[in-house]
Amino acid sequence: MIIRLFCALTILFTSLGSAADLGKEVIGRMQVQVYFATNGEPSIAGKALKKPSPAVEKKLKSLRRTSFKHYRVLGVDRQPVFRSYENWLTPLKPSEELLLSFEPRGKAQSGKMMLDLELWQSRKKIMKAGPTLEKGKPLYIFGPKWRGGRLLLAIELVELLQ
Amino acid sequence: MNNPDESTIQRWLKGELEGNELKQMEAWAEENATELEAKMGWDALGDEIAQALPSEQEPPYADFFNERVKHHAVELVETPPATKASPLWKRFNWILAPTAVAGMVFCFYLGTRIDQETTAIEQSVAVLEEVYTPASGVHSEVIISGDSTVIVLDGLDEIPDALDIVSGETGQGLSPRMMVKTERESFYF
Repeated sequence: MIIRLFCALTILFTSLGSAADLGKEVIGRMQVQVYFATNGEPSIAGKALKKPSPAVEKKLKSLRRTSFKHYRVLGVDRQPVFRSYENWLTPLKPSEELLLSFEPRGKAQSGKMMLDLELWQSRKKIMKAGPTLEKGKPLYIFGPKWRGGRLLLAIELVELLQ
Repeated sequence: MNNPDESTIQRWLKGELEGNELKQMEAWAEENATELEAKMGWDALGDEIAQALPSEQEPPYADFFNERVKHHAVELVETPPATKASPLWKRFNWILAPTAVAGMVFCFYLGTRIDQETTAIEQSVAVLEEVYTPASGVHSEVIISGDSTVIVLDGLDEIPDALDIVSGETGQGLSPRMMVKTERESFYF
């Protein structure tokens, strides 16, 4: 009886395994950090908000075109990259005021991954892009204004699985 | 009529034949046009030679012509062409080849440098194929800032100050995640 049950379970799991969707395979991880950038009083965003590390703050201040005196970390999210399925980043969770959806366009090559990337604000799609991201090299987006400052997103491929 | 002699042909050509002799000559000429033409050609050539050379000199013969032609041909081969004084720039022809090689090497070096610089840029930033902003009044600017790629979105609606996004508040409306999921399900099923 036990042997029959073992055989039945083996066949069942084998069939389930063969029918697994390869598109859901995790091939990397994406991360987004949202910063509140302002030249005014940063505590207006929230008194408990942390400053970014000195290295990150120095990097953010070095970005051309739009530079601010103060930066605060509003939120961060990290999600897996599926082989052929869309996934979402919710950096202000549980708020959905800012959302990012992403999906790989093909196989990663030479440590780089091309993505379909969409940015949503107030539940409306405000930008669509096709960046090729490399691990450790974030893409920065200066987004909407809020409370006298501006929201800055740093989108990064933090892990790329072979 | 038998073959007319040379003097008869000459007289016929000069219009001195008359009567029966003229008729016979004309009849022969009609029947032997090729032979007549040959006789006239040789005569003409003989006349030309006789006029060109002094009466005391023997007419040239074939071996004489061949020898002269051969001798002249050897002279043409052996005699070097007359050389002119070269212009000044032609005296530096020897420098053209090394200059061309140096130019090619320089261009190749420039090409490799351009390629390396392009590759360096590509490796140091997130490469953007396109940026599309569907909302009217919203425009994007892509900036390469050092080793970083920056997208600046201008013209976006401001998030209301009253909305506390840090504590989890969101504007009104259906979640886009739910909306996308619902649209896909209604489309495929």
